[in-house]
Amino acid sequence: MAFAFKYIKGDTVIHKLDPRTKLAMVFLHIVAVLLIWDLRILSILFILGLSWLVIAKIDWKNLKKPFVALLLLLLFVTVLTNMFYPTIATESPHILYSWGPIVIAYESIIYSFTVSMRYLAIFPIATLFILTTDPSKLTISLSKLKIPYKLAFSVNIALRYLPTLLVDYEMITNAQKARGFELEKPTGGFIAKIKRVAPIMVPMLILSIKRAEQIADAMDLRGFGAHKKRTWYHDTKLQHNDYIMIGFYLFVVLAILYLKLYIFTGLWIPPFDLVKQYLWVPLFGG
Amino acid sequence: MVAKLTLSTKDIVLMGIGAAMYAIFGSATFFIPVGGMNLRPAIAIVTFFGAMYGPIVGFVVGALGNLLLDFTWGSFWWEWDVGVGIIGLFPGIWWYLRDGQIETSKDLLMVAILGVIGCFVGLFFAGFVDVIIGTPFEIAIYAWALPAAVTDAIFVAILTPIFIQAVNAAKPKLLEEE
Repeated sequence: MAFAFKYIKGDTVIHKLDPRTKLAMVFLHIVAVLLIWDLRILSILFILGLSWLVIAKIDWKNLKKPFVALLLLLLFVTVLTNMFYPTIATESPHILYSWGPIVIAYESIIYSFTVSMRYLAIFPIATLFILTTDPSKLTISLSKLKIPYKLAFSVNIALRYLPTLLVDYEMITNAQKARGFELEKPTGGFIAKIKRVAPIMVPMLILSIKRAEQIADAMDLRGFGAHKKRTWYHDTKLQHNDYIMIGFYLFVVLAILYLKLYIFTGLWIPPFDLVKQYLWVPLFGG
Repeated sequence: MVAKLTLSTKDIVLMGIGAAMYAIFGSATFFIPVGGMNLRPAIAIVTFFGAMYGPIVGFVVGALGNLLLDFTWGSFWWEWDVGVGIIGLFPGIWWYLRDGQIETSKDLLMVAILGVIGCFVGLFFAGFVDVIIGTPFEIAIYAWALPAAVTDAIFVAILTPIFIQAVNAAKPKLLEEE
């Protein structure tokens, strides 16, 4: 199952960063990625993200499934849709292959790789955030960022109940399978096929609403929402490392902004002749 | 009389749990081929919460749920999160007008219609933001927004009334067990 993500306890420098710092890291990293259309810089940002994962000692087995799923998604969504637009990147493309209406140009392949790399470069930082941030500390940090604490609590509940609901989901699926239910049965019309998700979703909805009522009762009994402002049992403070990290990322974004404005202004297309001479010919022959 | 738009504790909890449910079903059914297409029936969860608990709950379930789903794929596209939030907002309009009572078949029909409109408004909003950011119009609108809106609309139209009916029927039983 693709959804294997939840907070894993750890004791590294990254784990000890304030959730606000990690939010800033995610935000600034994404800004940096969205600014640039250059494969070389995007690769550096990807490696930067990966190095945080290495520092946080995240096990590869936690990342393998979503990473493979993302690669498949990129293959289908970005590569296959963009590759067949020969003029997507330039007015006069180098045609590599054409067969009837299918025209594959060198520039559109580079464009597809660049778009895929823009997705890939965000992957490590987003997973880092999910895997190393304690949801209850995130709630405190969010409310310190002046986000209404009720909304912050919703975020906390969503993160807290993801694993629980996942167990419910598997339980209900197994229970329905034991009753002879088949989600992917090939018979029946179009609407019948769509309705087939109901035996799983309806019990899940009812169970969730019941659970929500119990949680809400427990929260009401403890006086949740009685006052406009509230305090927290734990406190989070920005430490030395937090300022260093935010400073570092601000520097990265400024550097990328400079590169974007003056050096790598647009989509980078490696010179066609050089790629042909040094990559294509040695690998695939003339 | 018009339903209040203030949030009760239950609404707060439901926003979180609904978002988590959307994220789980969204990732579980991402690659399930139904009728030959890769579809996301989880979208009906968003319209269900919008219809049963109001526009704010619907919006947060959609936007926060899609944000969580994005994170599991290691990406972040805020315009699509807002777009899915808008889908949850639309059925909530009828909830607001009906003072939170969604029971008759007319209610179910109106919720389904508003949900379908929401699919187009929300996803075309996201598509147009993508066009403004720099994706070619043909790709953002014809390859991303339009197919997603059409398939989501089909799911919303068929599944939302089923969910509402089932949960309404189970309501007395839920209270009994307390």
